[in-house]
Amino acid sequence: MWKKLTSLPVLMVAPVQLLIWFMVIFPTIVLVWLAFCYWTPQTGKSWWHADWTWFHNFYELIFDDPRFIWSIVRTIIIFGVCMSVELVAGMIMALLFQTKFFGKKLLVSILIAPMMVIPLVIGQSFYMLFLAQGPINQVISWLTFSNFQFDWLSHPIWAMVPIMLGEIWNWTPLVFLIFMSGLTTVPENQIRAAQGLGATPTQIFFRISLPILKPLILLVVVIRGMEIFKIFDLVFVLTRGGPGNSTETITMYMYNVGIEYMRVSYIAASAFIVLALVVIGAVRILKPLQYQLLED
Amino acid sequence: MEKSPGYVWKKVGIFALRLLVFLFTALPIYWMINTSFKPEMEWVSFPPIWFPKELTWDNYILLFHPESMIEQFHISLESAWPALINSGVISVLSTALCMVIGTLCAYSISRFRVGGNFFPMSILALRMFPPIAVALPVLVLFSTVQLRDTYLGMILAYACFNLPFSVWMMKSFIDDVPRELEEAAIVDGMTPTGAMLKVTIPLVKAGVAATSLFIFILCWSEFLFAFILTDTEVATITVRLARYSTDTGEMYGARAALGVIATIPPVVIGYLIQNYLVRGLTFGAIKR
Repeated sequence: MWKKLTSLPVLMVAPVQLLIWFMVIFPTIVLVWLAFCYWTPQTGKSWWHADWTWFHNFYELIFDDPRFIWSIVRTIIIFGVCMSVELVAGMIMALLFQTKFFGKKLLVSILIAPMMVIPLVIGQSFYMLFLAQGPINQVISWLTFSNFQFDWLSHPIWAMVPIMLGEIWNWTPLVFLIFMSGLTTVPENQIRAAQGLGATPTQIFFRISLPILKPLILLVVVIRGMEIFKIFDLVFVLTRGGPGNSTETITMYMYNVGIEYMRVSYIAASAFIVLALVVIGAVRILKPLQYQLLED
Repeated sequence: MEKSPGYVWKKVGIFALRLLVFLFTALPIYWMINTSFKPEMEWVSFPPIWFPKELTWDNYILLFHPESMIEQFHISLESAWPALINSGVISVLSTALCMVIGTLCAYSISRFRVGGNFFPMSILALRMFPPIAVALPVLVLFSTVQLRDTYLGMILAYACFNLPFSVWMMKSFIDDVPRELEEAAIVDGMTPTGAMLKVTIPLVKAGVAATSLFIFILCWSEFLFAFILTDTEVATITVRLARYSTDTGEMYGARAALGVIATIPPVVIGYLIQNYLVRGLTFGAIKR
């Protein structure tokens, strides 16, 4: 019965294939071509007539452009910090909401609101909150009994704080929801048995709940990691990569150099490097995910 | 449990933590709404004003009837209407396209295992592509074939880059429908296509609705592609929002007001599909 259909399944994926070829694969071929050329819109040539320069772009990127290398390092740092804070905060929140209490449903539905807010709007809101004379500094002033007026967004290191906080604010609710539903799958009889044997809540959490949640944690890291790696909207609104280049992430760097300075072929080369990294990463990262997604 | 002092302190501590989480969540949203109703004097006044004494609609009027506010703000903004309409048109149409081809593909993957593991995983890998690495050559291409700054270009781009969600989410819904139902329908004389359209698809109606709304949110909130691939003709709401912060100086009130307006549709829709959000964002891996 199902054997007759051999042509139908292929037909059904054809539109998706077409779209992917048009929007991803063909552009990627163009990207690779540009990466080995010297081309900007100002040269006056069409891009398919660009001058072939072999590995010149790559050489400059890797050996002559610390800005590029730093943008990668910075993105990894953002990933590390945001991911660990999101995991810990999400887990603490999930534990806080394990027991029943008055108004729980309402509170949970308020807490998941950040997931739906447009990242760009979050950026704007955090921009206003972190102004030198803004409310965050005011709250800090109250807490420290001083007059705290720090210009967060123009400090090369501390400007990362609003960016990371924006990201954390945006996505901790997702981690929280995933862990909250994960905690309900922890078998109750195991917890009871452990309690009967005199285990403390801390022991129960680390010895029983955490191992059961391990695949979920992995899933969260993979899925959020994919997104944090591409972080752009928040950086764009909050700092545009500034002051100097001190908060530039990979995407922000490529935007600044490729779109603002129009060094198209140069950025094509950097995109090529990043794509290569992503493909290598994807194979490793998607393996555990594939296990979870397809083998059920 | 006996109520020792320790127990009371624990209760208080938990309550305080919950309150802290709530305040942290509410603050940015509150500040946005708060600022959008403040008169110009209070936008960035020092000390910051937490509870404006009088609320004003001026910022919203400035967005939608900029002509009438020129005297008051000494600035002529572009109206926000075109951006809202553009965003609506692009989001609805690309969601429709993405859903139609995505559902077909998901069905094929779920029922026939098309392309083994590689094909579905490569669709998922689309999500890992840094959008700018694709947006740049797409920009070069679109400029060549005159698709830049057109509805069609934006719709194709959005439909393509939301495929991971539509395919995987629909796959998870279709997986839940037992295959035996279709087999029974085929035994009763239906064609395979008929069995799909008349048996399976009606059964995943709720899934189709949830997935569409979910993708609508993603399209509506997207910024990078819109910013690179549009110019003036089809600038979306997020592009408008970003331009307000560069073209007009420190118009905090207007920015906050547009931010609030832009956030209303995704939040309303988000609460409608609350139970499916996690499923969507995890590509159907977690079914609650």
